[in-house]
Amino acid sequence: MMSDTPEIVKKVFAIFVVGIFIVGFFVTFTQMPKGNEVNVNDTVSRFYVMKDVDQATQMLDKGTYFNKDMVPLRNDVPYTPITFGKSSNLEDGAANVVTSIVVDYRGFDTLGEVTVLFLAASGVMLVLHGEKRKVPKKKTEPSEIMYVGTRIAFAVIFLFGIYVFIHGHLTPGGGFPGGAIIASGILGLFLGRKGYSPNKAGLTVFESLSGMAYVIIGIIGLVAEKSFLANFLPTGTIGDLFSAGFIALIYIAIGMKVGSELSAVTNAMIVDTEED
Amino acid sequence: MKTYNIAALLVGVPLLMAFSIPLFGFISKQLAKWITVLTLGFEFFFALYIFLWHIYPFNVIMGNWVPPFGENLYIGPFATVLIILVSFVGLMISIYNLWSANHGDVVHFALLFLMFVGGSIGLISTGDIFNIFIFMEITGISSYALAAYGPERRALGGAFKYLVVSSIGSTLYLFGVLLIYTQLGTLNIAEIAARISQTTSGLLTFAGILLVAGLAVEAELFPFNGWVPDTYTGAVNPVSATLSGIGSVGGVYVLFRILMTVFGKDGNFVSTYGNIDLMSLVAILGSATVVIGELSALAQKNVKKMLAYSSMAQMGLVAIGFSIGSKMGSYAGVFQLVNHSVAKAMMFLILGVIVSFGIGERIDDMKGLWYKSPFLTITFTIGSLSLLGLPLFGGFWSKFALVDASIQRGGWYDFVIAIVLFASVVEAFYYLRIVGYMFTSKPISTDKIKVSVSPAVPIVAFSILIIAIGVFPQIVGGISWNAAHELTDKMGGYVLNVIPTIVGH
Repeated sequence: MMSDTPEIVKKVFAIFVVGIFIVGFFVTFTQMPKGNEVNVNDTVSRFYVMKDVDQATQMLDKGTYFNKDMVPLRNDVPYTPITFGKSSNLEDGAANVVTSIVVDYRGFDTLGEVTVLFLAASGVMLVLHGEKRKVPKKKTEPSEIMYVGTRIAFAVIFLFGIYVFIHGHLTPGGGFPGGAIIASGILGLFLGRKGYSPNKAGLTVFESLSGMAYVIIGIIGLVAEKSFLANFLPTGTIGDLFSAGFIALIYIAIGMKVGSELSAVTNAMIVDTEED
Repeated sequence: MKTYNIAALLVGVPLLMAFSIPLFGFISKQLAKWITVLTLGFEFFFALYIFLWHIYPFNVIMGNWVPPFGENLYIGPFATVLIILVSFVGLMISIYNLWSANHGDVVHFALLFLMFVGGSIGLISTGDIFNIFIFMEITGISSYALAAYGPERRALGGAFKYLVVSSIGSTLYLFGVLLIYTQLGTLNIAEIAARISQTTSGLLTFAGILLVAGLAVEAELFPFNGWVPDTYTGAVNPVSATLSGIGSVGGVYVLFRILMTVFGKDGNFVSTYGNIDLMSLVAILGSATVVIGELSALAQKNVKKMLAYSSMAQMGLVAIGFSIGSKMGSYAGVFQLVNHSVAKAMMFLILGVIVSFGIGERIDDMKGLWYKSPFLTITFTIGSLSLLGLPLFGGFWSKFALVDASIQRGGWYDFVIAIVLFASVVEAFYYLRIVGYMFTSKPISTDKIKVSVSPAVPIVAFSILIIAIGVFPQIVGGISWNAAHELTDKMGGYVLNVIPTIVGH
């Protein structure tokens, strides 16, 4: 249907679209204010300069903070420095600021992201369902070193993955990288052993239960704190393993989910698309 | 600011049940399909409760971070009417699926279908432009897989086309969101809407063009709707009904939430900030969509393809309605959206029943359907008459309001009157041609078609709803009018309900 269009029309259209983009970006960049001309009061939402949502919320309720002449970077606003290992009962309490935004302040987005991954995995299963499972022809068997090596490496990789997602609120990493690390360990097992196939039903159960755990944590927040995905645990001392409330719980759920999901997708792809 | 946090279950329950469906699938495939019916039933009755007890407009605060710091859902009249619509159409199609979805991996099909509807509900209720992107991904990814489902190979081609176009569209949307974020440092719709005039206007224009281009893919507007015919024709009929009745609703909602609430400049007629008026741009795109969609539908020999092109044209009418920018225009847009969604979903479902009895999809195959199944013929006729806008059927009131709003606006919108009337004439021609074939021609074989209960329930419910709207338009009209008010009065209708202390600049 599309091939009826003459080649010249396609080319002109493509050049036109690219032209719009170039002009658009050019206009955008010429109109951007220079670095030293940026007035924080104009361009940044004034609340985000406060570094403390609880405090900003109180000022929001007073209603003075949307006045045009309000200056957000003020010296008279009290600022207490946060010390690693000492400050406790903070509003979020995660030492890793990325985690505190991803899981706590914008936790609803992350629930959506987990769902997107889950749907992508389910979509792969739906589309590849019923494809004939061809028995792969005999290829080179993996050597003994490969066989033993991947199994030892798998144990280490698995532990490392668990470490990454349990410490998500303290160190860089978290549920998504942790889960991906575990899945890469499973990928190693595929390489090391011919005809290896993980327990499919087990992966499905794991995937479902960890996904449900995330939503149930959200609903516990709704019951306990009257708000979906609210932190219902004490935030503790910043830097401790048991700190930042429910962030660790959510990252454990995400880590297990991503790990089992990527493993299941790898399995579906490897077994089903064997061509020769 | 009124909060009603328990309504977070509108998004939470579909997610929880979707995650649990693989577990139920171990017990029985039929159980997985029943879970979708029960979940969507819960959604529908919860939304109906919000509507009838008049709990809207309210905010749902996520994680105890009040807007604009955290994320929130905002459910005003516009969101309420669309959530009821989406969950009702989804519930009906899930009942239909009990009978029709038997091929392949039914468990994952049920899961993806549930998440498509749940994602659309999230898309409609959220109050955060980045969260909209997340829900666009959820609805997008589930619909690519749904479109590829089915025994026929042509489904894969359509699904792939949709995947390419739609993922480019959502990337463009993300670019637009990023540009706005560089200017204002916030993602909350209410705060952006109040402070939109502080941005650089050239950048705002470019961001607006990117957003319109991205969202027009889902809203089926002209240069971005090349995927529609192939995807709708290739997909199995319940999936075509879902895409037409639910997917496009979410797309239109977000498009006009962005244009009228975020970019909107209040006045007699809403226009947008920036160097060009994006509302006029969408009006032009919508008019082109109507003309091209109707003329293409006229030329089709395949009923399913004809319905696909007609779907495009109807979405064009919806876009024209909103883009008039007056209260009457938005009222017409919401009303037209409801009528289109109900009628088009029903017609795809009827076609699914017809095809399942071995009758083809071509127009000639419809000859003499009256002698085989009076039930399907009458319901198909009701759907056709509603779409072309005959009095006593739902479509009449929305087209009437559309013409009324165009007359009030005047100017070049006088052409819109011509376009709406032209569209009605063309629709009358191609729908009544099929209806005429159904009643007049004698078929070669008069084997009766026995429609079982599960597909009959949604078809009957849709027909009753169409006639009910046609006779008592106030059941949709009242809340559509409130929705129109929410759209055209951006500070009073939206922003101050979310952040009461904010001051517009």
